[in-house]
Amino acid sequence: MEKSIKRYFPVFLGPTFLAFLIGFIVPFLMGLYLSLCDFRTVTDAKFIGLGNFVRAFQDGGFAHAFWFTALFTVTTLILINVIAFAVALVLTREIRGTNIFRTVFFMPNLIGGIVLGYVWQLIFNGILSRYDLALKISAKYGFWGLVILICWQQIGYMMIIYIAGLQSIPGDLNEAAEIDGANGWQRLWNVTIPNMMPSITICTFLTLTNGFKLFDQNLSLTAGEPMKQTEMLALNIYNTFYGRVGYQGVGQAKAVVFFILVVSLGLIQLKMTRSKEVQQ
Amino acid sequence: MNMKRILPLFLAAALALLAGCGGKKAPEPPAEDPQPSQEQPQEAEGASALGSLASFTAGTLDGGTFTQDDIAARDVTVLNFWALTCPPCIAEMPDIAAFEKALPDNVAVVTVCLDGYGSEDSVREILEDAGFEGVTLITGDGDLLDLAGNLMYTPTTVFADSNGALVMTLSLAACGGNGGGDAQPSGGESQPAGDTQPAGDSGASGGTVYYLNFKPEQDPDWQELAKIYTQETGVEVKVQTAASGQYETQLMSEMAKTDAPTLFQVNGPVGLANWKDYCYDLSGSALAGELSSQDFALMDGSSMSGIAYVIETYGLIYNKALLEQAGYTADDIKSFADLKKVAEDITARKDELGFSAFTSAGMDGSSDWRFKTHLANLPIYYEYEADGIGDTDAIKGTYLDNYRAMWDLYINNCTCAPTLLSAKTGDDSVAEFVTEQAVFYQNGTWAYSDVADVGEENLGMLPIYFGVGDEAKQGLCTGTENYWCVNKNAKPEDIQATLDFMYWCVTSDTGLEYLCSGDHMGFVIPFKGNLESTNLLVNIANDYVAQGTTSIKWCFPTMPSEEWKNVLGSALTAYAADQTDANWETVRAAFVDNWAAEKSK
Repeated sequence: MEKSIKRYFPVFLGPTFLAFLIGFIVPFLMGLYLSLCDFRTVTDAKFIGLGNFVRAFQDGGFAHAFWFTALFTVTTLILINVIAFAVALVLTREIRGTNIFRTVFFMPNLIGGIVLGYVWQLIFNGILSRYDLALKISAKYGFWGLVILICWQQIGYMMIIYIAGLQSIPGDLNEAAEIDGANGWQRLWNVTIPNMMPSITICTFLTLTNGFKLFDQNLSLTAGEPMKQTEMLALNIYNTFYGRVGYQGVGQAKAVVFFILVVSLGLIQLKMTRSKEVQQ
Repeated sequence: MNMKRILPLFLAAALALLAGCGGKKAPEPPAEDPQPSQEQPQEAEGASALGSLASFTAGTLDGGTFTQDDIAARDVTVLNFWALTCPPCIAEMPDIAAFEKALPDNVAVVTVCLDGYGSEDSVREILEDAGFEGVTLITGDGDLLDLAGNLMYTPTTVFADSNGALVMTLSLAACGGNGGGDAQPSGGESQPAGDTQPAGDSGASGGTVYYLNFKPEQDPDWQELAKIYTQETGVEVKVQTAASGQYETQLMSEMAKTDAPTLFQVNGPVGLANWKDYCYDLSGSALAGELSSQDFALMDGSSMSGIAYVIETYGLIYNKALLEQAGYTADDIKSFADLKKVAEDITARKDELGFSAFTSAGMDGSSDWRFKTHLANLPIYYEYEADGIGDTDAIKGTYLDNYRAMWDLYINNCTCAPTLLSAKTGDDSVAEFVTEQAVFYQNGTWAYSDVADVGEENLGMLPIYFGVGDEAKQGLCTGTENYWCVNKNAKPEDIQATLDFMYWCVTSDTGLEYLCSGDHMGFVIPFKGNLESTNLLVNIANDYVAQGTTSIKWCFPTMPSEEWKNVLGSALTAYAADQTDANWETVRAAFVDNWAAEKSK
């Protein structure tokens, strides 16, 4: 058995690895190189060293986008996880129609980000226009509009993960706690949540990186308006790369910085939540 | 005639052609031994296909006549067809002159200037500079006229024997001929040839065309035109159109591919700065020879990097019926003050009239260019005019108060509250105009098909009166920001196929029909073949010019960057939502300070 695995592993691993190589490793390495180049199209680049990174950090818009993104990510991380967890708790009770509710809550996830952005733009503008207001006239509206959109989209997904986590907690743990006299809150804090840590790790990781990487919804809902105040990191990079003559290299440099940022934040978060996980 | 005489003739002709067109080589002459056609008909077949010179009368530059009898008087007559608008022709003229002097008496060299009639002085000057002392024809009929009509390029040189039969022709892909119809610059003896590409039939050599089109409105027409061209010539033409506002993005990714666009577009000098390393030098191409004015070429130093393919005009499109309902006619609006008075009066009676003055000045990405680019052109134009310049690194914003007054007028007299403008789209504006919710709609000739629904009799277009200078003389805003560029890095055969396709588009009946007809693209094209337009807005624009108004030039291609426009657009939106001086200061900064900042990058 082991021998045949050794012999045939390339057959099973090969296609996936090839796809990973073409779809990720190669573009990534190209991107790293291009961030050090002056170029117009990606196949025709001239090496210039670290100049792009200097220009990237001098760009005030990039810094603003970072802080806006960070604020957005923290807000959505807390809101999505708390609400998704609460919904999961409710929907694991014995209520009629839980399956319908689970399906309904999960559905927004099946719609693409661009479409969601435009749909919500219509909804928000439809409501705001009653007060002679529009989504794009204030960064506040844009921020909360994005938060509502992302919560609506992602709560259902995280909910499914939490439901799976909740269902895997052995019933006898809660039963034993109940016999020991623990009330509902105590059981939640001391039994359920510690046992849910693997799910929480996954969900916080996903919401954190999703928040930082948010692009489609940002582009279609606010496009950074007004005055780039709601422009998040990914959109800022996109606009730098595509929107400005001679800034392709700077956009690429920002993308590299962005990568390092997201990876390090993700790793820190994993380390923090992993340490709280308990073995059953 | 024997070989000894004909050989230097070839060399001289080849030299002349070399000098003609930016280093392009002459095609190999087809016959090794060009004897008169009666003796060697098969070798002269290509040449005789052009016609003959057996019967004609022509007028010379000096006022004399020149007929088939003059041809009969010599063993061989060499006719060089050229044009004033063809720089390569003029460049080779000294060689022609030297050639003429070197020839024996039984051979004459005659030049035929195709556009010389009426410009005799220019013809004389060029010939004197070149030292040409022979006969030059400027008018003609009969066989000469037919022959000239069959030419595909200038310069073309034909060799006629004493019977007027054509023995041989030499030409190069230099400037377009005045041959009309479906003249294809491929096949036959007058093939275009260049140093980077093999001469040859473009269909047979397998070149293909890939056009990345900028204008979504015209996409269906381009697709059809491409299909027709493929049917006619067998050359594959692929047309892809970028979504509105996505052109640069798509171009950037397409250009990185192996099968990059062979034909793309830049929006003037600023766009060219990004793509100049990809632009094939079009000077001397057949297409360049078709330009009605060299002003429509986009130059990068001495290289002709782009050629404009459409001239457009914008202004205030208005609904005559509604304006009359409000108690006014276009004659009541001759200045900004008039426009303001009319607009504010309509707004005051909005409920009673049931419509507004202006359509919503939508600041959504599908419509904001009408204000951040087109309206912003006016303060730039007037400042350039006042300072006598055509571009600047530091705009002063002299006329920003007028810009503000105009913007105030638009946003406070439109169909919705100014705070809602950021959510309004281009479609909203069009819908408001055609459903008669508003009188005025700022847009241009390209929008004709959108607004035609209100009925031709109801459509009019006014200048965007700006309150500067002599407004009675102010015309519409006319210019171009659409320049065709050919991808230098494409395969030589693809470049050739692309040049052929472009030439066909602006010379063939089908191409012109598609480009110019109101049923199709409805363009005014800056080429000689331009047809009279059936686009009502275009005709209104022509009327304004005929009335002696001064058209406002399109200065916005000199705007520093897309970024500049975007920042200005955002500032205008913010100001519309809250019309304070502080917010206008943001607009001013976006206009003036950011201009300098972006230009310095």
